[in-house]
Amino acid sequence: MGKENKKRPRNLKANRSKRISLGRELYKPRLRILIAGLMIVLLFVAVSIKAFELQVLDREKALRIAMSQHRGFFTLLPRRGKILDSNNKELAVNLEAYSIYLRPKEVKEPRKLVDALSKRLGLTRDEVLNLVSSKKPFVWVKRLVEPDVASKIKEMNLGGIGFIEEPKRIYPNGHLAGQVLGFTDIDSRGIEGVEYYLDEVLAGKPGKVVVKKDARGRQILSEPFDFGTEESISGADVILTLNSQIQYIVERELKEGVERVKAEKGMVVVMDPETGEVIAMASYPFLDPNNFKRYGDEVRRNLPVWYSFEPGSTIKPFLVAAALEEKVVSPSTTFDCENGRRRISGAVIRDVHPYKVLSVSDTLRLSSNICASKIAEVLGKDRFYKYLEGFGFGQKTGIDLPGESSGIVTKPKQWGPVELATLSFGQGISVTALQLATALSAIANGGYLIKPYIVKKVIDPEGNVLKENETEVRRRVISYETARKVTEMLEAVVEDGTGRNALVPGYRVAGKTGTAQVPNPQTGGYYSDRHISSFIGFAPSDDPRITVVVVVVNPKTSFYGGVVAAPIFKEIVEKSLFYLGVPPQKGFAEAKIMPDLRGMSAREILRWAEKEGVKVRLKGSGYAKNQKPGAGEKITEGTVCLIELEQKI
Amino acid sequence: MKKEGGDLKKVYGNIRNKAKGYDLGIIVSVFFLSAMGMLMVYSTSSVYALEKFGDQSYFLKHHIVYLFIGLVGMVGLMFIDYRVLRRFAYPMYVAGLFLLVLVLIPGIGKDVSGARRWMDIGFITFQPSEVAKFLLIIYLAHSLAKKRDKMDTFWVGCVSHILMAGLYVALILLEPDFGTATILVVSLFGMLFIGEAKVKYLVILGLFSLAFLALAVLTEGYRMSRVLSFLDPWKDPLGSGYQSIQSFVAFGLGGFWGSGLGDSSQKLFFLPQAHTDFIFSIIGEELGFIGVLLIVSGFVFFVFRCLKVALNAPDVFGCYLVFGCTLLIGIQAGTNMAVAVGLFPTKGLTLPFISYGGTSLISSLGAVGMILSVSRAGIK
Repeated sequence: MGKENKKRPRNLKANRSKRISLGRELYKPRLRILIAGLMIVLLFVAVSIKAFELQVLDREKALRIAMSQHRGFFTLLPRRGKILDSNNKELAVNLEAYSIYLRPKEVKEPRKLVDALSKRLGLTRDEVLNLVSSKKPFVWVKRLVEPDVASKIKEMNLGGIGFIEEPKRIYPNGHLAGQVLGFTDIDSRGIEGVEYYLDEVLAGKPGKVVVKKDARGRQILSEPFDFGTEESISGADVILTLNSQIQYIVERELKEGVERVKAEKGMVVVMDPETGEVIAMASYPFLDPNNFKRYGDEVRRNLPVWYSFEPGSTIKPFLVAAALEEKVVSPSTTFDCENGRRRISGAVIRDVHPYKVLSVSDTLRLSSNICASKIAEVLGKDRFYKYLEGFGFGQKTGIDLPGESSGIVTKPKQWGPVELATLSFGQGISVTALQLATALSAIANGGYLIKPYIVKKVIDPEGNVLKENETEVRRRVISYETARKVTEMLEAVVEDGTGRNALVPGYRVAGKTGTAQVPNPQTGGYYSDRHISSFIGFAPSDDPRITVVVVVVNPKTSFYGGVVAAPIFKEIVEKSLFYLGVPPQKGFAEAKIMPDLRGMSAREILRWAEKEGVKVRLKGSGYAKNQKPGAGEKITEGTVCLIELEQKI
Repeated sequence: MKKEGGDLKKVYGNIRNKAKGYDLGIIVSVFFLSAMGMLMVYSTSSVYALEKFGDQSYFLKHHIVYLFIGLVGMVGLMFIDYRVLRRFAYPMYVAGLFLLVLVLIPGIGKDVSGARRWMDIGFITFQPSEVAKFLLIIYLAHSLAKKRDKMDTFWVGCVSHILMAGLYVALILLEPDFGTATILVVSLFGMLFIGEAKVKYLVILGLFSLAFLALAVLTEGYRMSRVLSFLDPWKDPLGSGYQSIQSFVAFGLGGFWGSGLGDSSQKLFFLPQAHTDFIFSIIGEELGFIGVLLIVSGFVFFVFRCLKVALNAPDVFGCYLVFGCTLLIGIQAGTNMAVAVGLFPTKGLTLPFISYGGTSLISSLGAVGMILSVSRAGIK
């Protein structure tokens, strides 16, 4: 600035007035103008330098931010694998459904929209209004809507509403094997059962498209960023060992049986004793996975795998098997039954019916607790424990299903004489229905403990077998001879013992009843009014095809296993064997079909029975009202037809 | 080819003749910048316009109307001898004051998020400060020319002008429009400097204004947060630092060659006001560093030509007038760009000739008309 002053003429005032008077010939502050101009140019230069830094020298950070905010992933949901039964019947499939969303800002006719959506989708007007007035750019209205409903809404051409196609999991058979299959959540993630256990296999791999999106997260319709698109990979199909026909039979009989005795719940396992394949597995009350949200946790449990309980007398076959294997007794060894009442170290154990002397065979047949306790004493607690472990109690069976319980078998060190005694008739130990089925199968198949399994095969979308399960023998528990001997004793239980209700005409059946008290965790004792009634068995016992375990929890009208569970067992075995095409023994070959007798008089019925050679038991008098077997069912030679009569039709 | 070249030369000569001494460089640079503006307004606003008005050229159509009005105004002022303006310097000063007061009255001034800067007058939302600042320049040019003899005094030379301009600045601060006020203060000091006020006084008064500026920043929350986020935009990337960061991102994405016209990602709502205050960032993204240089060169050339006109002006008033207008436009352009690249804290300033914004465009073109009027008179 100083320089500038020097350059200027000394006599400013004089000069200025002169310059003004000179008019056009002006003095101008050239230098000051140039300085000011330079300042402006400098600002522009600074801008250019900074822009060069941002655009050329130091782009990285900007690009990183840009990538994170401009990239949008558009997930391509893969097709979830199907779940099939052993005959490739579909148990879980996918349906194309539509998920409806709303962009509240784009809604032009809110009233029309509220009307339409509340009517079509079963939402209340308030719910829809809340969605419409939402400040969010995107809200779901309803996920997984049936295609026809969605297309009706589509036709109305409402503004601000959109549709996304998403697969919806459907279980076409309703509650059939519900707890076994499990279910998926709305985003197709398995959260229970096989769906959960094999989620990774079933789910496949979601693909993604990387798209450019704007600040509101919307996809921009321009070519995607060059980050690549990944195709989705469909999930693999899972083939189970379940047979839906037998599963159906099981569920029907279980429901009927449980409801008949007004029980709290029930469960059944049907297993192939030779291979370990689970043929049917049911829990009642049923769960329909299509509407899994309706059910509480208790119903969602797959009971045969999860529910552990004190088995009661169904443990006795394993005790006897152990004693025979260790050769401490023979089938004919006898024990004093002390007339149904035995005192051990201050405690008293009782038999339901008092007996004087019973052989080992009769111990099972009549289910004597006192004799069982004596067999356990002869065997000794360490050996008893060894065999309980050997049969797989206290350990998980290792089945390919989630949520398996191991049950509880305490160590023999903790057993006193009373504990050993109660253990001999199945109190003070807890087991699952699946453990019982596995252990009993070891007797049925001649002594091998096998690992049960329910997943037969996993097949990828191209048809390649990714996995195939095979029978896995874990160990030999007892010899073939012992198994044979126990089987014979168990046949006697059904033929002429506590399990007579399990008798299946035309087939040899081995089985054992169980009636257990339920421990009361508060008192340390047992509830007087709660029982678990069970029946375990296999058939045909000379060449076993199925092992069946039936457990009924808290029956109200009766509690003996032989009354509550045995009939369910019988129905299941009879129908399953028929379905499997297992031929009955000689003399039972010709099956007859039961006609509809309702409305016939007692005389007419007796005439029919004589002609057909069918045994009939009449109840009441007058005309037939109810009949068992029902019309159309099979009757064999051993069948006794039960006809209820009534005076008036 | 040769013939064509000859024709071109002839055509150019004709234009030159028709321009009758108007500075062609200014006209060309203003047309270039306005054309770029039109292009970029369309590019930056189309997505937003489609979303908001259902018409992707909504803003472009309006912009073209303003551009037309501005060009009419420019040509009008071109043909008026600028010396006539001198006669109306005082009424114009008063008119400017009137407008600035008017906009502050609730009901007349439109309240947009706490600021009263606009008046709705039908076809356009009129921004009085954009016009008033040029009216002030006319007044200052007149007054500085008139008081040349006393310019080395403190009171008459400096303080009187500062008071007169201060009234404008105060009213603009009341709106509040801190950006325009700052530009006006800087221009005022520039003019006083050119008007040969004593540098000593300017420094003293400059320090005084800085103190005032600091006070204004500290007392108003939003200004403080703007300054703070300028110092460290990453501290609050989604809040006050958001615009700055999104602007950086735009420049970074553009790189040297740009992502191509119309291909900006940042204008997809990441960068608010992409067609007004931050249009330069999108230029940086779509046209790259090359585009930035092009625009900057356009403005430098414009300023250079204008200063030449100022130096050749037939009288002091003309010189001051051109210089004042140039300063106003140049500083506003430079500041807008500096904000975009993060050299200055965020202000609400448009980029002259380029940004969408009716009043700013029209009054800038009007100012160019005045400059051109001087340029013609300055030809010997």
